[in-house]
Amino acid sequence: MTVATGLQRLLGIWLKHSNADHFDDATWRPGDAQHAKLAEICARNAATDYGRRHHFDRIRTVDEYRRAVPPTTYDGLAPWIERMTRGERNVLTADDPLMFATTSGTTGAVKYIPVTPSYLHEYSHGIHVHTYRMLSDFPDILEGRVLVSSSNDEEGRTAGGVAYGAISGYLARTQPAVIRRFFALPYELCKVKDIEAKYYLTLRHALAADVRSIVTPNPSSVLLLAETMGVHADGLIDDIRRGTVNPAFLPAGAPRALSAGLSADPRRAADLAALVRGTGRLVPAEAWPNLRVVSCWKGGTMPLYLRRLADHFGDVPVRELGYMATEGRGTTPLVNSGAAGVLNVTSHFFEFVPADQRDRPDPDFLSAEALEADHEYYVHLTTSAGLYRYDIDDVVRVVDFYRRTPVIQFVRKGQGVSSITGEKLTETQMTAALVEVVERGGFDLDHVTACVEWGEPPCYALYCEPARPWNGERCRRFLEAIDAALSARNIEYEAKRSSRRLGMPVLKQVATGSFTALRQQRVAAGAPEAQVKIPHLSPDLRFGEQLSVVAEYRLDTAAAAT
Amino acid sequence: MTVATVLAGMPMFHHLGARQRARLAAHTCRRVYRAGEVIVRQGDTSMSFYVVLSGRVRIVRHTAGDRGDGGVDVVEEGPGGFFGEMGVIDDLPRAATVVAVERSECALLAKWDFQRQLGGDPGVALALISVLNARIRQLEDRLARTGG
Repeated sequence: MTVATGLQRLLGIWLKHSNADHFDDATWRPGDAQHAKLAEICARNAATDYGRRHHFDRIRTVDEYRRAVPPTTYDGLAPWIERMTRGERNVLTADDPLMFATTSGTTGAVKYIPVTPSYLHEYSHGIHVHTYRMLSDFPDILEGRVLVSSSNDEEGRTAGGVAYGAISGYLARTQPAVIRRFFALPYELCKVKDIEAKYYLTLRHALAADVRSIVTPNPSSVLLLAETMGVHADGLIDDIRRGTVNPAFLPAGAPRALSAGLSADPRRAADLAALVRGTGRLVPAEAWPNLRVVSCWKGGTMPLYLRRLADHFGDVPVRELGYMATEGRGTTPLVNSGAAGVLNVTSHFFEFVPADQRDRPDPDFLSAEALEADHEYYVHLTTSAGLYRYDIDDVVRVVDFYRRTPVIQFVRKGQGVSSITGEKLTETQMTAALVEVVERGGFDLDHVTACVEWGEPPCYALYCEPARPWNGERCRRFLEAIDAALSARNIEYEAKRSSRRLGMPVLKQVATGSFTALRQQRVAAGAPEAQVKIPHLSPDLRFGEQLSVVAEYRLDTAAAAT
Repeated sequence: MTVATVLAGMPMFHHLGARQRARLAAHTCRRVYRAGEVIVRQGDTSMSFYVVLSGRVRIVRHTAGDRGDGGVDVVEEGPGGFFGEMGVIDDLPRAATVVAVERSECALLAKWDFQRQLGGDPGVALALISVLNARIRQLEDRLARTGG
């Protein structure tokens, strides 16, 4: 047994006894586990302002909790969280935040999620169970390196002086040294903003190593990594041979860790060069022949990317990473098949609203043990981050049961939100961007609806009905303006555009009267005329089929087609 | 009817002793499905092996590119029938969609609890191979009849 195998075995034993067994036992009694988690959260936070207002100290049952605490959204909690960001204590949580994790909100503003020590414990619990299963199923992955992506955890400081940024960066930075030695990438890489530089540097570190597992949420990132490997193969091999980093990819003032410890490795460089000579390209499956597993999201809109992974990774198993967000970790996948995982009944307290009851004034709120097979639900979270009955606006489907615990899969974002690559673009943001562009640019636009257009990369197609046909120059100005306006309103949209996971919007001019005809169709189908609303952002992928497109404009080709 | 009683009538488990069957039954969970309800769906994550305790279920395997109506209707199972055995062994997605034809009750045995039984009793594993063979022959016959 090698030292690495021994360490993997020891780590596995620790994870099993500290986390995995607890989770596994709880799957027999999800109701008890959920009640215990709720009681723990209420007891810890009973003396907070929010806890006192909602009488946490009197809550003994799930029903009492539901009567005492209203369901809420981020907007409902925002005033409380703002107090926390100013440094006020004991507002939503009894323990002080270590940082604020940021994510894009439904109104366009950044959401700040308080990452308290107890929340970090809940969040990490799911990671530990996932890791335990990975170590069990792939018993030699720590013989090599783990390629884990992360983002910057210190984008700035709140008024109260607490850092805000990505929770993934915080987790990478605070790993014990004994774990971090298995990581292929230095923590400092999360600080690099330039996407091309970040992917080059990722490969500069990882290609020199025997990478055995890749863990990154979005499969589009995995594809981009593979594509970068192909494009920069010669330069990367040269850098590995000489122990250097091409300065063109080192940002000004780059931390030393980005280039430190990269010694010359002529043998590895020769092996990689031989691969390129042999096949004419460098692909991950050959560059990392011991790669055992890729773990990333597989549900929702991800299958578009997943189908392309095999081109670069061959038959390496792809395991779902889990239904998770900054606000919480919903599932732990235990197998490779499908895109679902076992509900994390020992991490947070979950409630579910049947998808068809979403618009009812008094919908049913169901506990984990009440879910039914193949049904879709909206998720509400209660976590140690101070989120109480928090509507995360995600739809999940129950695909199986593990003992008595549901196995669920992310399906889509909720109403009014479009998310191809995680950008969570809202209709509110789209409308605001359109208003700004039309007013400032003087565009004579009568009707418009945006919807997803699949492609490589996918993008948003704007079906526009102008008062008079636009020429190419006008189309170009409109697209550039709308792209900038959306980027300004949605940080995730901007990030996805910068990293090229999301393409430039395309413009499709429709014939005059098209939208009126569409309205007429809806009325003919039975919709009350006064209630017919043609959305500015449609989740319907086939929306455009209802319209007569007379011209199409794409900035990448700069050509109009009729 | 108890789970152990149903297991006793299944070829895969009938050679087990009463105590072994009781132990196996103790690792199952019972779930009831309404008529028309989808129990598992082809292509989904596979975590459990199912034994039909009462009612009837239809196991439908959809052909490639035809995941809606009009798939190949494979078989119906009643009490003592089972499904999901392939997914918990090979860690591939569900190979078929299973729908409750009438109100049905199933016993679910989770992947690792099932695998522990397979590992601990070669007799169960051998019986399972026979069952899988039968499944393949059944499918081949149906495809041949439909000209597939």
